[in-house]
Amino acid sequence: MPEIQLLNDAGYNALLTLAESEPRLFIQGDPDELRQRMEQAGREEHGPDAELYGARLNMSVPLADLNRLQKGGPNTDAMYAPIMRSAIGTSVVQAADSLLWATINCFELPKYVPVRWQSSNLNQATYNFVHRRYLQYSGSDGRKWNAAARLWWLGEMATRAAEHSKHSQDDLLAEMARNVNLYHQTIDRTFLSSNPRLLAAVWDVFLDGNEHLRTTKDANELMTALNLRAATLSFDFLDYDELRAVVEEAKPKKEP
Amino acid sequence: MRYRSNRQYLYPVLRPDADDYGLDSTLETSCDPPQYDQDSGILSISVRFNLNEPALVGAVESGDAKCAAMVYCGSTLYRDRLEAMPGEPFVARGRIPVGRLKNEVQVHPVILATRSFVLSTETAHAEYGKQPVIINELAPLATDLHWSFIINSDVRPVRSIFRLKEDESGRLNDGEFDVSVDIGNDYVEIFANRATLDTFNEVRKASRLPMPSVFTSAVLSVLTVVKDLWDDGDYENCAWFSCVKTQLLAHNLDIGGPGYDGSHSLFLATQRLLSAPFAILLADYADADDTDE
Repeated sequence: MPEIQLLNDAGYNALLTLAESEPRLFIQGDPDELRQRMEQAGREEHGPDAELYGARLNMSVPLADLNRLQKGGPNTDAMYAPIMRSAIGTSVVQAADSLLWATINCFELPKYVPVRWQSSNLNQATYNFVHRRYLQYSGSDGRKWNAAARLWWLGEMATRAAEHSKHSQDDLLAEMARNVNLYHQTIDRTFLSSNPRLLAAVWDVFLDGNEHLRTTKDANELMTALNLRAATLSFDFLDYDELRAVVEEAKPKKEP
Repeated sequence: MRYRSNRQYLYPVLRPDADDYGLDSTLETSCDPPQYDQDSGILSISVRFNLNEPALVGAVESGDAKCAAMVYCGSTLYRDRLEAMPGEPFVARGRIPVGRLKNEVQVHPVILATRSFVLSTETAHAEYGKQPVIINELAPLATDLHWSFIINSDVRPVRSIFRLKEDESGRLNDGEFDVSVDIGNDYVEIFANRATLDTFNEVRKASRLPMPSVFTSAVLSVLTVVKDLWDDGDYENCAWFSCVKTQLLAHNLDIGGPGYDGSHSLFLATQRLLSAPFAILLADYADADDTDE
């Protein structure tokens, strides 16, 4: 069973320092060099005996497959999300840990991020990209941009929605991974991402023969309409069927 | 047609920094410290509503509206609701599984319509007119700023286990502190007389220098107890004990409990847990040096 040792706060801060000064180190895909430079930065900041690692984590499956990704884009997200959840476990409290995700992105998935986001051109490496995809657990907008956490949450969203949906978890996961426009819109809104009944209602509307809603414009229109309803109607007190009716009413109508 | 300028809702909603109602109409909420039941893993939260707008008070008392609160955790995307029960219409209560929460948890108080009803109020802003308005079911009628608390945070510092308390026995002189490390308490108590506490609180607002002199000795006392009780399962539920133990593990510090070889002295472990307090003095010394130049 693969075991990894997670960074502690000092180790994490050393990576933040490196992301500011040398973001290329992250996307060039050499975890040994990145670790060496991180330890060097940590020692410079905290002294020669600095402790940069903390707890150990046993992963029930290895993540090596993700490093074999050949082509960018969201095509493999639905396949990799369950692997990430199997490896890390399904405890949401454990998953809400930036130290965990920074360790995994930097040292376990050195090849995944550059290929997934087609950023292998070193000139594209910026602090913002590295901070968002490798280090930060959750952005100020609440979205999980972090590469590994994003996969975990994709699986989690499908699992939560499946508890109330008429569709299977696999179908929901495949649709969320395929329809990235709508997925990002749903997780950006806290009244939606944290309400599994509403999440299920939205995705069920799409899965039940509303393929015409796949464009960004349609997703935007639906979300604008739901935003307006959320201001004057507390979704938290509605059950699945009532929420489904709200979504049906809010969705953009197909033009004849 | 009559235009309502600068209004967020089509009907008046009592909320902070808005003049939908007159200045005398207010909603003040208070959130009691969450109570955690170790056995069930359940957190009990209650929010009290102090409302003085007669129309809304009437709506709550008649059952047209109810006091509620949304509990939201951004780290785990957990969301649940607290609701007032019939016997206590101005207190929203709920029980939340603590295993679903981490870091900041927000509690958003709200008064909601429980059914469609007609609201007539004398104190709404003139732009809403004097006519009664129809309120739809589950529409918000009043909100307050959210409350928040931290739970299950990975970065809970060791200093958080301490509470400063006044010593009323008269045994402590000015400038002296004493530590009470009681496994039956949730916090480790640091005692001082009133004058010392007042001075300490005043000085620590201006400088971080006095902190190490108090906390270093207090943490040392705590570690002595933790070392002896390291593997005693009876104390795992004690908040300060588990905090210190978690921090020791997180920092890979071995203070020599049963089964451990004790490669770190209590004194060194104390410094690591407090992020090297002497470094604070050094940093301030260096800063002072820079200023001199």
